[in-house]
Amino acid sequence: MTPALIGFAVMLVLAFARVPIALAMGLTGFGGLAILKGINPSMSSVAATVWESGFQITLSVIPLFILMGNFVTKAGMARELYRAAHTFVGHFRGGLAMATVMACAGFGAICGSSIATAATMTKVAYPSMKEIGYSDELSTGSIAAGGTLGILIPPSTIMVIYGIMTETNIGKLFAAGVIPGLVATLLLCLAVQFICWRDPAAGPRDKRATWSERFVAIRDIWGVVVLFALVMGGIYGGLFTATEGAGVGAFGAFLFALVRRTLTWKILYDVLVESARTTAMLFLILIGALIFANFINFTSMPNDLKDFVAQYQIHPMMVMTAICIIYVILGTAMEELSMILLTVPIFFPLVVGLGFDPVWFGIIIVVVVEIGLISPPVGMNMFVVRSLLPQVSTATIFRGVTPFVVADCIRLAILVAFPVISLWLPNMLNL
Amino acid sequence: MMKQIDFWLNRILGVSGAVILFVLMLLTTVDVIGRKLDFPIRGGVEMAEILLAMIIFAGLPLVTEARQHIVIDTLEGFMSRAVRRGLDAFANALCAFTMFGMAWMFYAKRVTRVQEAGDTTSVLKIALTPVAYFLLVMIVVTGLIHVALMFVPPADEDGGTAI
Repeated sequence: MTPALIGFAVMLVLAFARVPIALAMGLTGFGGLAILKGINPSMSSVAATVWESGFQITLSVIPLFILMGNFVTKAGMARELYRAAHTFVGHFRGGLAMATVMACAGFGAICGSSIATAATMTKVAYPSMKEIGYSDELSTGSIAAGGTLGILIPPSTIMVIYGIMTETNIGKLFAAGVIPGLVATLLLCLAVQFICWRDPAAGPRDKRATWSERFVAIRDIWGVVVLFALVMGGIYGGLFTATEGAGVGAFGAFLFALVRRTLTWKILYDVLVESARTTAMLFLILIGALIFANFINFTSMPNDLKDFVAQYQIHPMMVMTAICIIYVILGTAMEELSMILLTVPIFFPLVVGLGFDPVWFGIIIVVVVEIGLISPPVGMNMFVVRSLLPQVSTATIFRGVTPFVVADCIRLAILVAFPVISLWLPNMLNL
Repeated sequence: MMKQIDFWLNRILGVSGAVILFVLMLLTTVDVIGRKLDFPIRGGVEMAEILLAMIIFAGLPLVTEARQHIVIDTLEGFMSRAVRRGLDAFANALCAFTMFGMAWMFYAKRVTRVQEAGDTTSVLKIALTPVAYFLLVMIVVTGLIHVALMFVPPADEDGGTAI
């Protein structure tokens, strides 16, 4: 146990000293293993991790889904989603905020990034909410919170990373995110209703759309439906693997962007380079996390934790609740990707050892990341919205997201208490 | 001088990264469709693997140069500008050291072995030695960028669209 704790301490000191988290993990992992096992085996392990991380075909799922997300962001498909949702619920109190949440959910079905979803939706939804007099709190809050659905509704970068780190089936994880995604959409809409019930001026009604307007708007979202059906249908219909689905999805998104004339050579170049950069960043983290995990697994820590829980006969649900509370607290102050990379190697063996389902735990991880993305003071989604809307103060956004954070915590409790919500669909699909 | 290196680095690695990623996308798609029609691309998987390795390591200097690595900045609010700059220079020195160390280990334990054994891919017999050297050079270049960054004060970073 002691070597692992020292390792964590060293790694955290480095990370807080502005060393990129990937290198802090890699350096500590190498050093730790060199001390425990000898310098030669440790060097071999680093060399093997560097070489093999590139040569695994399943990992090409990462650049391809990132590319798909960046293409759909450019293709302007968010606008049609928002318009369609607007025609159906716009006439309700807080209707535009609910339309925002629904459009985010729809966009999440073709984009695996929360930050991209929030950024795209800010440009689409904020101007129209502003126009009919929504409060900045409600509009920015619903965008930041709705944006987090990007990683819960498949595809999802976080699920891919979790799947690779823990060797959990990515197809199962994707399927497990669908129903929790619908539950989340519903709860966020209820949060909007709660806000408008407290303050009716926050979200005034828009005029009711006619059925013919609704049909036209629904027809316009065919692109999103086709892309989602192509990728997910292909994966679950057994036509192709998650990796191949990512390739087909990226290519489909590229075609949509091309046909809609949203691609210039410059935009195409930017999308490709940005995706390549994000890929490199994620892989360096993956390499660092693997080197660190090699070290942690060599210490007695994973077993010691299990023994500790067994010795005091702590109820598995208590352990799970404690883990969730730790995550929600860490998520307020930490960047979320580093949070899960640091903690999953410790918690995963413990959770699985207690008999919990790894797929279900993956969904729980995604949900705590979502909460972290919108919980002050450090939450990437709020920062994204803020950077696109310099006229809105950070304090306004903080106030705006608070009810949604509460809704998300309720959702977390529901998903922890009822694993069947996450596991029913993957089990039914017999993956 | 620095500006020019910066420009050419972005040009060369950016264009190669973009082209390789685009090819990977096309290859994966054509391979899937081809397989359904009984016309699989011979060695499609191993080509994709080599492309993936090249994207990752061609992207590494670019992320580093753009300071897009994920850094824990929770404590930054409590630091003065000078402390933050000093810490940043220290972190970059340590990163450069890590990268050079990684390059050395990778060379000693893998590149030499690949070269001696004359490793190739199994279907198309593509020689892996040049790929190994490409990865090695990119790790070294990344280390050199960290050295250069020690002398450039940090601006506000942008986390990209990873999550």
